[in-house]
Amino acid sequence: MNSLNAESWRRAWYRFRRNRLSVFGLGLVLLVLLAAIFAPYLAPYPEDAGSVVKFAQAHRPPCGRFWFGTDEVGRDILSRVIFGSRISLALGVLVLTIAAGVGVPLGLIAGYWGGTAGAVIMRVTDTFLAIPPLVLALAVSAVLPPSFVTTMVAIAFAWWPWYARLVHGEVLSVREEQYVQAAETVGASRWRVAFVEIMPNCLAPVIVKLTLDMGFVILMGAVLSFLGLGVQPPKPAWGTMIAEGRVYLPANWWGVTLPGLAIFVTVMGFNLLGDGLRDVLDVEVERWN
Amino acid sequence: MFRDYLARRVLMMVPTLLGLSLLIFLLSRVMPGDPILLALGPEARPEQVEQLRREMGLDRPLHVQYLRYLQGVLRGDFGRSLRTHRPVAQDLRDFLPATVELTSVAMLFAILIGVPLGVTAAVRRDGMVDHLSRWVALSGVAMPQFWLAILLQLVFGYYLRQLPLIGRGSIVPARITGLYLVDSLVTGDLAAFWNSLRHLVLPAFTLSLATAAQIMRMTRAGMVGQMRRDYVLAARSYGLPYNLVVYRYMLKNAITSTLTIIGLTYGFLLGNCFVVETVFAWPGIAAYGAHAVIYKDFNAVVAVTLVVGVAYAIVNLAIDVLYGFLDPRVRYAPE
Repeated sequence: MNSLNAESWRRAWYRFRRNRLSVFGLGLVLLVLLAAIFAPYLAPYPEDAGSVVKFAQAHRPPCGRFWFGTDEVGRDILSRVIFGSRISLALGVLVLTIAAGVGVPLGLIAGYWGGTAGAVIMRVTDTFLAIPPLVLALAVSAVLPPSFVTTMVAIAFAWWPWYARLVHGEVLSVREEQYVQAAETVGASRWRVAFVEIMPNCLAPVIVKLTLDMGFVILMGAVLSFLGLGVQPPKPAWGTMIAEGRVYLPANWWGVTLPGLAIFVTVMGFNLLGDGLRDVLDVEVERWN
Repeated sequence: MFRDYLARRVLMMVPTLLGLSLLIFLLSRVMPGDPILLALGPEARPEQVEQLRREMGLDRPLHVQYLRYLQGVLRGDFGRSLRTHRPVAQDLRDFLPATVELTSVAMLFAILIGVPLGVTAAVRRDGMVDHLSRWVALSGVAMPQFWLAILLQLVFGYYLRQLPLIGRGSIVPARITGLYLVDSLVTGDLAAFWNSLRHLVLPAFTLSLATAAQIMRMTRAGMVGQMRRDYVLAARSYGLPYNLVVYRYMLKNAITSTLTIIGLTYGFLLGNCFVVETVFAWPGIAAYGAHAVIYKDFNAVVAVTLVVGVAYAIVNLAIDVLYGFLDPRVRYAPE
């Protein structure tokens, strides 16, 4: 069993590697990940991530000393962008943990139990899906004071139904499989069948969706912080930096352009990686069955 | 038959919208921090607070409050805005047309960009357009719209000085529908039409890009799926011109998947409206809603959220109807 798994992993990696775009995406994601982990060592001026004032060097355009220029109080924008990756990645991971943590079990229960409980769960899910996620997240942000936690709660609140619906659909398609019937016949409990037999077989699409969603959650977090509803200054969230830099346009083009580029590159990386995983896993799913 | 299908689809909207209203209502009632105190300020005396609370019906049980609120909404009464001090319904009437105009033109742009590019990419696979469209599709989805909006303002509004930076324009046509483009055409006011169009271009283009990217991807996939069908081979062996086969026969069959994605992405388009309108100071309900969120103007937030939900539902209904119109199999399928 183990050797077979190792072999299928190697094949999956081979197929993944053949698509240059996927590898490029993986590279971008690794780049952002490394930036987040080693931020204090990579950033030229780590202290600039916080609230520091160096008026003598404010509004410097990109140059040898400050690759991304400096902001209105003289902080190095490159250092802030590097530290900002921590906020973005943390937001993505936390939101998706909550969203999948709530959505996956609900989808499983709705799909496998069915009945009234299932119907109620899916009706509630549909209600949440009846409104664009960003709008729902904005409405939640209105209820809470602006902060990182608010952004996290607001986006997770709008995001879990997508996982419930995805898993619900997957469960419906595997519910009648022989291994499920076998488990039921030998008297396994409903919980065991749902979480031990069915769930692992629904995970491939969930993993792909999680990867793709990392990008979209980071994008939405940037929107909320751009509007002033998320992470507050002096914390170096990318969206907040763009909102601050926008005040000094058109003279200081770097204050907006370069943090935005960081968002763009990160989201692009997760999208490409997700697309690559989808191509690889879809085939794998068929083969495992 | 088609009428039954239509009626069924409309009926299906009702529970969803009721659920949505309940969700938004509950959300507005769990707000930490008292909306009354927020409205009256910290100087208010306890009896004043108590009086306003009774006036607004906040002392009643929750289900009574919900029913009263629902009654109000059905009459078009959304309460007063704490920020503009006007009835929210009046604010909506003033700001809604700008958003309808912006989203409609943006969707039109998205279709005009997405469909031809998707078709060309599919017909000439691995050609230059195909590669180009792949990158456009990737960037369109990954780019933060507020960032793109600012960059476009910078380039076209500031460096090139070709297009206005913000707003809907100062030449306002006589109000009939509130849609400047329509009103100015109806009244024959060409100056207003040209002015409004120039103001619309940048925000609408910004808003359209992500949707255009999705439409392009789906159209390409749909067209590639049609490529090897027998009817295409038959049509071509009759000697029909290739463009006719592509646009008249294949596109008609491929367009259903494009329609689906238009419905799905319309929600994201509405969501993105909140940022695009804010950056371009576009006087629509999304910018109004974004301000309401920042100022904790609750009645306005609830109203805007509901309006967006209804708009989303209506557009998806329209798409489903169109779908049923284009593909008879959908109409007769049992639910």
